[in-house]
Amino acid sequence: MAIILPTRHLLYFLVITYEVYILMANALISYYAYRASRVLRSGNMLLLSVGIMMFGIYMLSNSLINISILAYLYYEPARRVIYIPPSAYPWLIVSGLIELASLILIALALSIPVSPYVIMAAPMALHITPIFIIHALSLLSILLLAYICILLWLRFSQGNNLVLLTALAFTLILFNIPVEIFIFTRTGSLFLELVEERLIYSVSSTILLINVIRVVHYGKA
Amino acid sequence: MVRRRSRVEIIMQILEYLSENCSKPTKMATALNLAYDRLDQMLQQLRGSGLVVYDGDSFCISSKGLELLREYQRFRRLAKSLGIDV
Repeated sequence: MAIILPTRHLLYFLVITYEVYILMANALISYYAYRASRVLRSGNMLLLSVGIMMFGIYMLSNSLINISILAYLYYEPARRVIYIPPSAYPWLIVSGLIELASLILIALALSIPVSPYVIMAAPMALHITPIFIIHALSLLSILLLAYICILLWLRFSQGNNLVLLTALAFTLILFNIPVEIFIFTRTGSLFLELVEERLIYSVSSTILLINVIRVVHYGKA
Repeated sequence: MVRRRSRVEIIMQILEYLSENCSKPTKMATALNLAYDRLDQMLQQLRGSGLVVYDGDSFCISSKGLELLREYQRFRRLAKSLGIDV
């Protein structure tokens, strides 16, 4: 007898599967970075290790929030716009803070000065509406991510060929934002947008993981 | 401006130098640009840890030292591949 699952359930399953994989990949990358920090006695590697792990946790929290929003929309199928229930605001703020904190740690590990972002964030604190905070956090994260990508490509252009895959992985995460907007405006489906986001995150985590394994276990230079 | 080498970096440079061939401390001090006293002190510590061996004339890297050097080089490459200068 054929078992027919509703599409919604299949997508939930797909999103959660992606999420488990992303978290495991990030935990592995983080573990290798931690081992490197011990062997090299490097504080920067330790910051990177914590930053990558936190980014994995951010991806998980972001996914869980989106799933809860989708569950809310389930009861209002006629709604054509995304309505974020106020009960989700604190979670979105926490998720945004985790994302920003993880990117700050990664930026610090790469020796990027983060004080300009603190200066930019200070006047934003005057606007204390939750929606404003959520957007401000998101904007700061995009700026910081763009800075990280530029720096990694700059290091690649300066002759560090090993950094290519890392630069590619972070650039993919950055490009997720316009792709996400494109998919949502074209299809109007929050599900598809969510799946696309997990897909991009899992691809970038895989690229980073392949890079780490090939360098550590196969000594590729 | 020339960056100051960390203690770990100096130790790894000593091990790297010895991995190519055994050497006397005076020759090593010149090649690695280190003060003789400091190098001698470090070599004694490395000898105590079993990372180098002394045959009465020159110092050589031990198998334990070689293993540590390989591990260090692997993780250094990893740091470089993640965009971090160690």
